[in-house]
Amino acid sequence: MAEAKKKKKVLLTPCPAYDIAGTEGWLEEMAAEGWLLCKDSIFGVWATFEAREPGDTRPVRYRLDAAGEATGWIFGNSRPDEEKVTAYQEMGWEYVTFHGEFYLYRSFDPEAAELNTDPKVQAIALKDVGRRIKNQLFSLIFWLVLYPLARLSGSFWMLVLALGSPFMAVFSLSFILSAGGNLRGILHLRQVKKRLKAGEAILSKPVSARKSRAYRAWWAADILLSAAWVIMAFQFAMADLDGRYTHPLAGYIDEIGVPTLMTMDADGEPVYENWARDGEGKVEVHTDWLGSWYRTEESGAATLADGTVFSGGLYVDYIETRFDWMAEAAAREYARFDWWQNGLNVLWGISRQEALPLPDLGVDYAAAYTDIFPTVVLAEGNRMVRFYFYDVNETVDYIDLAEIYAKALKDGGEKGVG
Amino acid sequence: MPKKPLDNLTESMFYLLMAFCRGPACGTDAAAAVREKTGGRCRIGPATLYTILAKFEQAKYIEEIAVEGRRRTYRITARGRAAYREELERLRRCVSDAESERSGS
Repeated sequence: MAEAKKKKKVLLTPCPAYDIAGTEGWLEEMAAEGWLLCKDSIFGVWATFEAREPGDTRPVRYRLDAAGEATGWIFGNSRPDEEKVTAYQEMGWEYVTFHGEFYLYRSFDPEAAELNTDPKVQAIALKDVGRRIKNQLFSLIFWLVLYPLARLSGSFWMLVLALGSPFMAVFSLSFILSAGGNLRGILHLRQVKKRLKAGEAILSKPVSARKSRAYRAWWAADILLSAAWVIMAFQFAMADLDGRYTHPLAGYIDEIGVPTLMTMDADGEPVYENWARDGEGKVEVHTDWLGSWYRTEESGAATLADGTVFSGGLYVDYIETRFDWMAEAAAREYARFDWWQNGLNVLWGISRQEALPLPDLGVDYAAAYTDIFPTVVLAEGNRMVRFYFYDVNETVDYIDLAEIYAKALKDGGEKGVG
Repeated sequence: MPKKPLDNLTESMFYLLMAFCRGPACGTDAAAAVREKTGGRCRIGPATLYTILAKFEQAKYIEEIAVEGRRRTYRITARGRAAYREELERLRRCVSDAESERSGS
């Protein structure tokens, strides 16, 4: 006759895996209430229990054993090696499942020796768990902070303005919650190890309702925020691919407070190069509570007011920020970004990079350098601009342009040249 | 001077080395020998046993000599014997110090 299907229930765990006493205490409490954790079940932020046989009131001890290896269903082991499982079984402990950095065992035999009989040896085993949690924290910092910043050559403010402050707020909060969880684990285990080294054994105790609520709230917030920033990043990437941030430049001339090829042309209609990516005069726009960022990449010929023809390319990044200090910070970041970006080209000898002299332009920040083309970065008040250009006719030089852009930043009016 | 892998042996570690001094054994047999030797006073739980075996192997105090099915047999090494003797000598001095204190009081 087929065995009757046992009643099951799924519950959220009340504490993280590294809270050994809390986890063991909770599982023992559940066993006393008639529920046993299902063997080989997923035991993470939730746990699956099955009803005990009627009349089974044997006392149950649950114990977490530091795995000493990576655990997991895909990228780790979901059970210890069989020699260990058998030996533990012979000594009265059956393997249940893994939980975080631990393997979980239980014993129904009150005579069986404790799983850990030497607190100092248990402290040695927990050292490895602490190391793994530290590695997780370092991975988190590396992949979510250091690596993206290195890839973007440290361009933090550009990233903030491109992705927007809601994304940055959600991402930062999510990172703080995740890193905070790891940090709490490291500190908690340090305390536990200290007590174990002093010869004090870990005593299972149920988690208080307040602690359990706090842990579940933290976990839910962590999951929701992580999901939110992943979705937002995906939406940004999709919008970027669809070109939803790119618009015809003509519609933004009044917003962009510095010269572009379009405003330099006496008729406002420069002859764009057909091969140029934004041949028809486009602008990439990112607007946010913290500021607006405009990027134009124009190649072609503009007839200046004095009749000379500027023929080449003019590439402008113009930013208006909510706070004055942000504009200067962004300007300094651009100079740093170019320096790093061009560093490899300099090493390979295909480019040179050197500072160019500038007269006093009367702005908060000014820098000029060669970065393949002459490049100028200026900041004044809450506005900044970084532009670089080439002009085959040599009608203007970088100092002329720097003066015009500085004046435009200061009074926000003049956008033409010549 | 290189740091010793295990500076201080705990009681369980000391008794396990003593068990391996008798001859090659698997972990559970060594733990049973400790229990028998101490009249049940020193019981070694499975997690403690396997953590110590791993540490002893790492410190080269024991080495695996056979695997039969799921049973691994270990034997003590010269380094393990030296660690055992060193701990034994330290304990002898402790006892001797305590006894001289008692006779003097």
